[in-house]
Amino acid sequence: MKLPRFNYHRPSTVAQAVALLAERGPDAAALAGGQSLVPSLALRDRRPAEIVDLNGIEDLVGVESSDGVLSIGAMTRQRVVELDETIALLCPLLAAAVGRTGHVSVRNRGTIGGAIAHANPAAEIPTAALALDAQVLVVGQGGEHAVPMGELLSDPFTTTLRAGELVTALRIPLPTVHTGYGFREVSHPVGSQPVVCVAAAVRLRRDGLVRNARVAVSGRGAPPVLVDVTASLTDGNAPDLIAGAMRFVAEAAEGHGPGPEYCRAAARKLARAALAEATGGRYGEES
Amino acid sequence: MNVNGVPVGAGVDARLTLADQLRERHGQSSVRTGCEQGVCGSCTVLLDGATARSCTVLAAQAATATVVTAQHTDPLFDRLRDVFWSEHAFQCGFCASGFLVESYALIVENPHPTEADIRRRLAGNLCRCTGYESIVRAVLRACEPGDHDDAR
Repeated sequence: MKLPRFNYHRPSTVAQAVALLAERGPDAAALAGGQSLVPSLALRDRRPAEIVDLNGIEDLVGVESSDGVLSIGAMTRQRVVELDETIALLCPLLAAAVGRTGHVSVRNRGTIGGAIAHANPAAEIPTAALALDAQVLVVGQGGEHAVPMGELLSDPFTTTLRAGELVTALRIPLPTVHTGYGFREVSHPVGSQPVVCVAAAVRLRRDGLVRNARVAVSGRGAPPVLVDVTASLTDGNAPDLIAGAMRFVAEAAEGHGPGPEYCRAAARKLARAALAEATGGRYGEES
Repeated sequence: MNVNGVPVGAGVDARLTLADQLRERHGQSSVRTGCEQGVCGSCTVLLDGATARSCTVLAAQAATATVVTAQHTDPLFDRLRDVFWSEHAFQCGFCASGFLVESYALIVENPHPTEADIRRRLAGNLCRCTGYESIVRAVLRACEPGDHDDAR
């Protein structure tokens, strides 16, 4: 048998899942789409005594927008988000990021909540969520609370979730003013974990000038970094700022793929392209 | 569980992956266990209509699912197998079942894919023999109109 021994649980409600996770403590693992957890079981990198399968919990599935907030249930499959017409219209940055996550057969299983809780530092979905100022809804025995995306990711593959807590939804505030988006990544080959990933959200004023520009940059060494380039967009220094942030991420990844110089150069180039995409060519440059 | 249209008993050990369950309990040796860590795509099956890497699914999760493998018989699978044969898209053959299933799903969603569509869709399946050219050619050929009786 390839997988280590574990007890398999399949609750049908969030409350049951939270109770199981709380009762079994750190020995329990929540199973979402299984695209990372099951391989890690096969490799015996992880040996949880209990597996709590979330795939039977219908309340965790769905996409809705109300009161200016787009809410995506944690167990919504990535492929569903990628093809959702409302998301394509209201939040194209998320659709672009999800569409670059793994391959179709991975996205058919992989979930939004799983990608967030797994906290792969280079992953597209958390990077886009950071640029989008998203909140992560978390439920534990003490009830539900919202955590800003930037506060959830503490280290590579590590979140600030406590044992027994579960991600239930991703909440993205929808802009009231015109917002442009850009997304770029380098991955070898396509579909594998990116080396560098850049997500840009630029809010424009009525006169076309920049109101606010948030860019998230990520790589393999440290959690995604948010760079506010509002002030530097007009003087052309934004790509350098983003490349500087990338250097920090890449140095933490020393020895895992391309070195910091490559990552910094790639981040600068991707940032230019992402900013050009987000601003209709007004800032940055297409490549 | 239903495998290729046949209901099968679903008493499973939680530690079995769906790939091992299909191979060892249901005679589906076309489901190839290559990397067994969700990378190579050789164990791809249709799980309730959508492609999945069966090594990343626990058999227990698929207890009531409908599964289709490359051994399934229907006109599209028959045509794909024929054109893979005639275009030399099988070499050692190990990866072929994963390519067949992913190609099947692509054509169901998009009956007239471009070469770029095919390459993008099959990028998650690894082949170490053919260089992919003959596989892409076979999928393009499978989408051409007309009968394919000459394929063999």
